[in-house]
Amino acid sequence: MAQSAELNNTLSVSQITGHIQHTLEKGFASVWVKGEISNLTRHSSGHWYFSLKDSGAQLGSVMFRRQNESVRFEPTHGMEITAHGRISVYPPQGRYQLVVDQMLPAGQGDLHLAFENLKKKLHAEGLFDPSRKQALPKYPSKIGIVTSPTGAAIRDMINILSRRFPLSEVLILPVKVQGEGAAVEIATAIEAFNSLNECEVLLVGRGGGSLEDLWAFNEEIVARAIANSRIPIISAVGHETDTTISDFVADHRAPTPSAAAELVVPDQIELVKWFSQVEQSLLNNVRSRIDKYGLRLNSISKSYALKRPELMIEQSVQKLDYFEDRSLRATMDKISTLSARLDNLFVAVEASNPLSILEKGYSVLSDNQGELIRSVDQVAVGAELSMRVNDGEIRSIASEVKKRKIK
Amino acid sequence: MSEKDKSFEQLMEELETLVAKLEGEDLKLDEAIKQNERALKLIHLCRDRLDSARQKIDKLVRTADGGFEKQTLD
Repeated sequence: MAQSAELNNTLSVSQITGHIQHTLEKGFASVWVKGEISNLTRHSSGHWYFSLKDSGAQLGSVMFRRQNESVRFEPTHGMEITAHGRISVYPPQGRYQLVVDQMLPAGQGDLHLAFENLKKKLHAEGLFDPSRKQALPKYPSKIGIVTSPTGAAIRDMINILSRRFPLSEVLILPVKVQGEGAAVEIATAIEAFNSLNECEVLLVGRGGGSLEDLWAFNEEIVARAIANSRIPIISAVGHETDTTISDFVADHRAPTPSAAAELVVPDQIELVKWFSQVEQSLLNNVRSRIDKYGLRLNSISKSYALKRPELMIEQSVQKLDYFEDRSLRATMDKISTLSARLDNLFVAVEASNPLSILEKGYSVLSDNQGELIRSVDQVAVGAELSMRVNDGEIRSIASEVKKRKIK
Repeated sequence: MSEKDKSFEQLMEELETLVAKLEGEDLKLDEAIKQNERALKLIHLCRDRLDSARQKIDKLVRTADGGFEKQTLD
């Protein structure tokens, strides 16, 4: 039964090779291997084929041209090396090999191993955490430098600092940066700066050199001193391509000491330029504010609210004019009405003037006293009478008086 | 604290804050003019500081008792 169950799970060669490939390639995706080179062949394609071996085993290896171009030493048969790479399985031949991407002579390989181990350890402790990184002061008034008093690095840094930002004071603690005791001196210097507590930022580093030359900056004691520093630290070791443990632990990493000096202070020329810009923009700002208020004042002064009194006056004047017109017209009307009435009266008066009757042939009789005669009773026979006609007077004497009988 | 006692960094910080404030629109005119004068004065001060600065370089040397002592370099 058991056999038949296993039989049911029978794999093809390709299938099992596929599983092996998957297991090996996943399990050994990045490994360091130490061994002796044997059977090295430099193929015309540029690839290197060789075996790595020790007393008990050997491992087929290949290093392709792209990777072996950066190997800085001449590997030869029998040489002890440390190689980094991944295991790759070649199914058609059922073989596995190490595909090497980095190769170091054994001594250096040990250093690399130490480097990788310390890096792993400190990383696990969280010493590289971004949250641990301290911000750099923008305008440090005092900068501490831990480096060798001789050599280009210190000169370059001082030159750049004094050119860019002479306001920062510089305090140098000269140390040995390579060889026996260098790491301790560097670590002590960082601690000394912390207990002195005058500097706002520290530059720790040295110029370029071999891996061994830079080694002090890969030592745990230096890494811990950097990690423990309350003063922010810029690590500046070697050239762009060199990476040290110090770079990982430091708050900032500069590719070179000169770059660190540029990073740590602002450029006074840029700063002065900025001043001019700010000055301009401040003046413009106030000017534009004043202009803006001016415009607003202007528009307010033109607004209806402020124009109203003026309008009211204009309106009143208009009203007055209108009243003036009306009263004038009314008066004129009155006058003409009155004068028309006067004319009528005149005509009536004219018509009623007794003298005008005379024109029609009537006459007015009066006695010698000028009293108008309206009745025969006023006149005695022989009385003198005066008769007015249209163009004169006639005197006469009454010869007879007869009274009309009233019915 | 008088202007002279303030560090360049303090002056710059004040200046940067002021400029940010002035660039915001909310200030009243009187206030803006006052702040503006202050900012211009700060710029002047900072410029003077930079103009008159000459880098001071000291060196720490170890003393017999294991401590450190400052020496001026020139």
